Amino acid sequence: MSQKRSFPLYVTKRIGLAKWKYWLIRVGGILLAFLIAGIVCTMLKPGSFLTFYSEMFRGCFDFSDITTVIDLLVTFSILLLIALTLTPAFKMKFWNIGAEGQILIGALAAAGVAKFAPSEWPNILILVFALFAAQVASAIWCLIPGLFRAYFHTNETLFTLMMNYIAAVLASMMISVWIPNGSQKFGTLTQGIFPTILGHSGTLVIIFTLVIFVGMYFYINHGKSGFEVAVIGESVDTARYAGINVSHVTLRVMTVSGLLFGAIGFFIVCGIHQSFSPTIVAGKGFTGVLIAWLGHFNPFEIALFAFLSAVMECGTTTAATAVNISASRFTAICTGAFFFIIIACEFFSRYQVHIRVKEKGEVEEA
Amino acid sequence: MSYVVSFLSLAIKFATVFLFGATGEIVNQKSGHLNMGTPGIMYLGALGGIVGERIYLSSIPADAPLNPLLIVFIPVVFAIIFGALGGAIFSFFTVTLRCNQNVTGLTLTTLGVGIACYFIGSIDTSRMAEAGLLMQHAFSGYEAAGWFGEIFLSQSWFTYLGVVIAILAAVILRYTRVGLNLRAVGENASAADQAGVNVSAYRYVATIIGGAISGIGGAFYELDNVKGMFNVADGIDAFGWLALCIVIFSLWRPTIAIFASFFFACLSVAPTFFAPYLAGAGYVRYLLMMVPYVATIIVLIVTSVVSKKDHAPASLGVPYFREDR
Repeated sequence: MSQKRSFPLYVTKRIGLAKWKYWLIRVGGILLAFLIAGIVCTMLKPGSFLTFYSEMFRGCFDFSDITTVIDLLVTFSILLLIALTLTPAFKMKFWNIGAEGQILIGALAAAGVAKFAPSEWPNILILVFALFAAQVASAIWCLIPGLFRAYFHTNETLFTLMMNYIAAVLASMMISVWIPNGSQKFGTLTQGIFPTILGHSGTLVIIFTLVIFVGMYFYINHGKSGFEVAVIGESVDTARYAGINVSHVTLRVMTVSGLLFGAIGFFIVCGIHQSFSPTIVAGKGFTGVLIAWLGHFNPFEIALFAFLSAVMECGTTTAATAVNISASRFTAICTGAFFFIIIACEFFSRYQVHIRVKEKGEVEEA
Repeated sequence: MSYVVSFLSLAIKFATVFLFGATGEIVNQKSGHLNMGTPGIMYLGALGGIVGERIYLSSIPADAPLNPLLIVFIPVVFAIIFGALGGAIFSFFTVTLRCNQNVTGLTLTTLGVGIACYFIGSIDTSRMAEAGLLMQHAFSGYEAAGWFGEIFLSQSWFTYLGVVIAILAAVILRYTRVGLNLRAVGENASAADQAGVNVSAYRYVATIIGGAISGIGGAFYELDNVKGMFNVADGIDAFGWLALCIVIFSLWRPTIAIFASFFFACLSVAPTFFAPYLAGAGYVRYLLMMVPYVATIIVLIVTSVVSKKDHAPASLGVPYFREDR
């Protein structure tokens, strides 16, 4: 009991909640979140309730225009990759909230290589170099806080947060150096780009994501490294006693994170946008943190939430444009509401709220 | 000389935004709440401020003179309400619903930025420029005091309020029973609970008050610096994150935060203020923009390497549930 004695409600832990009940709560929460998005839309633009849902559906699953579906899958892929990459670090209680900057710095490196590689090089060679540069840059960005965390216990949450902003400033700076005319516009890449398949340049990203998903599934659940990470997450002292070198595991996990974040940055620049800007990651690094956490570090649950977030993002953008309200802000409101509701569901699946009747003889209620 | 004076004056004005944000966040963190929703809360405060100002401006005849006190007071009240609401949401999710603080904070930032950006853009800004000019100086006749007046007496009520709140927070945290209890909650919630301190209540109240203080900072920026002319490029969320930096940089002490805010403000103002001199080397202004973050990281590293004693509250970011072991 966390409340005062006189308080009419009190909370206890749920023990042995049936799987189907747990998912019932979650599905209920997800439906509620979509309902609230519709209500918010109606509040902002009266009478748009049904249009909102039909437009939302059209923005995600319009099979007459395959690029819409690929757009959704690409957004889903990037969110899934970010959340999966964060998972090992989170599992060992390394709170890396610097995904935004770690991806951006990889994207910056990839953009630099793709823009300035000699044009006589074949496209595939440029792509390989861009990927390599991106991975090195992101690994450095991950290892700086990793090293200080491993050897000096420097607070990694705040450290990685700061690194985001340094990366953002660095990106603006490099653009001003690369494009000296002061327009701050990077322009479209003409070399070092993914081929267009099915009318979309991001199609290959979806395929790579599948491969990485399988790899990460085994890395997290079936490898020695994944096991060590899980032990450290449970108890650092146990890990030490079992002979696990916590510092080395920290560095290893951050290196893996860096390599993957570099690949994500490379995908975003060379595959999806074929361009670069300091805001190209667009907050997905932070959304990824939320998805990894709400997916309980389980790759399949993470995939589910990444998909729902992608539907929320693509759908609300189309719907907002259709009913003529500011899309980016409306999407932010819906995404925020969505995550708050999922967080609340988390509480109701782990705890039970009881109503206290009089002093003695408590009556239970869900 | 006059150049230096106007630079310092501008820096102090800018520091006010940081000071509110940082003081609010210190109050938060002293209770053990690492509130990463502060950028969102500052945005909500900005929305509150502009709503308050609109309500005042709509309540008087179109050509009536503005009351220089009410034009500050009403927006501040609304900023406090909106900021406190943000803090209440955060503590409801972390204390009552027992959710992870990082997750809640980031979600609150997403939601706060979305809501504030959406609605600020749709609010009528007529007469807001006039109101902004009116609230720029708390005292008229500050010119009489020369350079001293120009720097220290030319500021708006917000600036003086910010300094008073920071000092007040420092005194309360350090010298009162309430402050002692709050620090105990942030250091070791379980021990505080056993000593009879209501941990949940302290965390709720500290987060709500902290949110209210941070909210005023957002309102000040919106009403005074940009005078209601909302532009996403001047994202208030960036100031929110800088406020988090300042908290670390000032080792969780509101009095040091006053000077740290000023230092960070100097660095923020310098690139645009000295733009004519930096025109030749475009990248210098970016290096200047990087300094606050690098300085914060250095403080983080130095404090963790040099002193065995961590300056952060010991259970910062750690949730407290009595039934957990």
